[in-house]
Amino acid sequence: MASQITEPHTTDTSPSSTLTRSRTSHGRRTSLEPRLAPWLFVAPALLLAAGLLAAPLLYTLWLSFQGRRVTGSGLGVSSQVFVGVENYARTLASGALLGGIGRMLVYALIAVPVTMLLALLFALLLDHASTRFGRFSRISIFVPYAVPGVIAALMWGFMYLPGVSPIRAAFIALGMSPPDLMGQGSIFFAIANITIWGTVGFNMVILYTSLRGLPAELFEAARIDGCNERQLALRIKLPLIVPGIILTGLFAIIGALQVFSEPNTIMTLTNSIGSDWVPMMLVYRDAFVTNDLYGASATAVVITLITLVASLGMLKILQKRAFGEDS
Amino acid sequence: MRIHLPRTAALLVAGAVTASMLAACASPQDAEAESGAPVVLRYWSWAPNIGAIVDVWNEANPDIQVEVNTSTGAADIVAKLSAAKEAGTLPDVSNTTYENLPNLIVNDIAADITEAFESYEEQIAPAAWNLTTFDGANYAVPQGTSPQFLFYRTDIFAEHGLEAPTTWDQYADAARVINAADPSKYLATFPANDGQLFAALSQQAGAQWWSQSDGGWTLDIDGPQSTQVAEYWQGLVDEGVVATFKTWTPEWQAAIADGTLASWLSAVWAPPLIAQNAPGTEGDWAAVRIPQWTEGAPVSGVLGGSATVVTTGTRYPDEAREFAIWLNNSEDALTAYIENASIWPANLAGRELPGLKGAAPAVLGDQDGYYDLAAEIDEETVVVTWGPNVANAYSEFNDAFSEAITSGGSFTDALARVQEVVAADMSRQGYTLD
Repeated sequence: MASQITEPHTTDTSPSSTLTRSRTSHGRRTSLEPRLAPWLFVAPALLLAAGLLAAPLLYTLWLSFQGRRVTGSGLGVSSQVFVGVENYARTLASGALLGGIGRMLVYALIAVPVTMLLALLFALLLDHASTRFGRFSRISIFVPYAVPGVIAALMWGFMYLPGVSPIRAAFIALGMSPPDLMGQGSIFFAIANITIWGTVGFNMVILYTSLRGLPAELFEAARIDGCNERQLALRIKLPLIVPGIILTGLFAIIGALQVFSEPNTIMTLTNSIGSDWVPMMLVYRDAFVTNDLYGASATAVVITLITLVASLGMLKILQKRAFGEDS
Repeated sequence: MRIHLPRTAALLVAGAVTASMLAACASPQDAEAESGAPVVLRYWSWAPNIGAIVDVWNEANPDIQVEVNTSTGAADIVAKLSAAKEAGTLPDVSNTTYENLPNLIVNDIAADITEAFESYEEQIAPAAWNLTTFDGANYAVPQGTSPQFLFYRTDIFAEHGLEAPTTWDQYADAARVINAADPSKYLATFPANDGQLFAALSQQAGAQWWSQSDGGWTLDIDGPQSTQVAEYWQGLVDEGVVATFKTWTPEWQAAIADGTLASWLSAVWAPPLIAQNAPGTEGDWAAVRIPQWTEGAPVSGVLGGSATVVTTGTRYPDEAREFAIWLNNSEDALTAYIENASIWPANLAGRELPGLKGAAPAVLGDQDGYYDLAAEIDEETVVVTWGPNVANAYSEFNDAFSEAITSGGSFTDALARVQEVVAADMSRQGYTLD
């Protein structure tokens, strides 16, 4: 992959360097241009990255070393002061972050594999030679992805809520005792179900597109060799789309790390979710409910670091295994 | 291997990005600046039908136009105003709950309005004056107080041969009778998300969660009176005769509407909300004093109520103060408020308005003397001091009691957890705790 990127890059620069060389022989002020031109080209991207990524990150980092201190008697007047690593010490000592990470991992263990397996299954089925209504099915599976997370959570919340749940009503109509869909244990499945429902379609489209990009001759050759459709799917198609599967896996894992709107919406409906259920909810609560922006910043920085290290490590391992043959 | 997104998806993404950028560009700009144009005050409120009330002002004051923004709620007002202060975009005037006012003062969001407002002291109910005055300075114009009421379904009570409970013992008996007749029906729910209700019930029992003396603070969230309230509800929850679902959910709405819940511990502002959440039950409700611990000596806690602040970010402090005072003290505004939002005014003359002399709100059917009872309960309401981090206490209350309910834990321990978290937060901010 890396070689693919660097190759066109080098071919791009060579004409410009020839251009500069030919110009240098004509004038004096051109010595600035070779240094300036590439910067002009990358400037929009750099500015966007600096303004939208680096600046908020640095601001958060700065906030995480600040705190609110009140002076005077009675209510007093608060001011922002430097407090060193106090916010970090508090975040790491409180256990709320650790608890949140634990619950997030349980959720991820359900959501990530199920999302990937379903996306893969749907993609392979849609790519099956004799599948009918492929276009219709593809769009139907993709549509939930267009539903915003909060709306999806509210919609599913109505279906889980004991007083108004059609699922429970169906159980009762059939004479069975209705399940507690938002109990202490089932809540993990309830939340995972919402995100799986929402993201399977997106991941399926990625895998399906990878499948469509495979050369048809391979399948023909396999069929001539006596391969049936199931063997074709599992032995030919599956190994060929491993990079796509890894990409969807990465998306699913990142999605799990960032899970927020679904549990935060469901929290208002059930006693089974507290305001620190997953790390992102903890950050949100501290910043916007209990008005501790500084503690929230410290927690956010810690989460960012953990996420960064985890994803870099994962990428390194995956790159070796999946993209190794490319470079 | 490269990943190709389908072209339609790419187009969709591009379209969405463009649309959102356009939307950002088109956001409303401040329309003043040119001289001669009317002053525009930006006002944040969550009161139902507030637009109708502000229209009255706008018609009478062509030079001072008020724009209402209702995209805020009582719960997130501190967060939104704090963010606006950081961004330098504070509105000129805003609603606040009494609970959140101390936080707004500490963070220099609520401006001192003593100069304009101090002469009103004679006209304002002492309890409301007390809730908006700190160290002798006025920081908000009180809108109303909120006498606590027990709203109950007269038809369901009659069906079971029950009378409205006047003591907590009778309330518990009513809960048992209703649940025994049909295990899917309850007298009430104990909502873990309503720290405000629990605080009010604790105040009724005699607790002062925050109090101030000699510049220091005393916290008493898990003291004997609050513990008494916690143990009482733990008993009902363990018996299974009250429900435990949260309020303001679709489940709760359905339960209020279909009679799964036969009563609601709330305050004077509840009738329009009952009408909205349980249409079709108009006339089936009655309002009485909340049950008491000691018969014959009625006490009420403070459940909600709000005030209007002028912010430190306003460019028109005089106009903003004038509007804030008009909004809560003029006959026009109060008449509109009473009609639209069922408030019990803090302004004493406002309590004599015709809207509060006639019939009770429609949900209460032919009940006589609803507002007379409100006036009586208001007299019985305890004096309360809110601390600087009430939102913190309510949030922790939600977590601790949710957990206690789902895992069968102790409500007393949950209360201790709230005390611990609130105390830690206050000492960290630099307050002296006794």
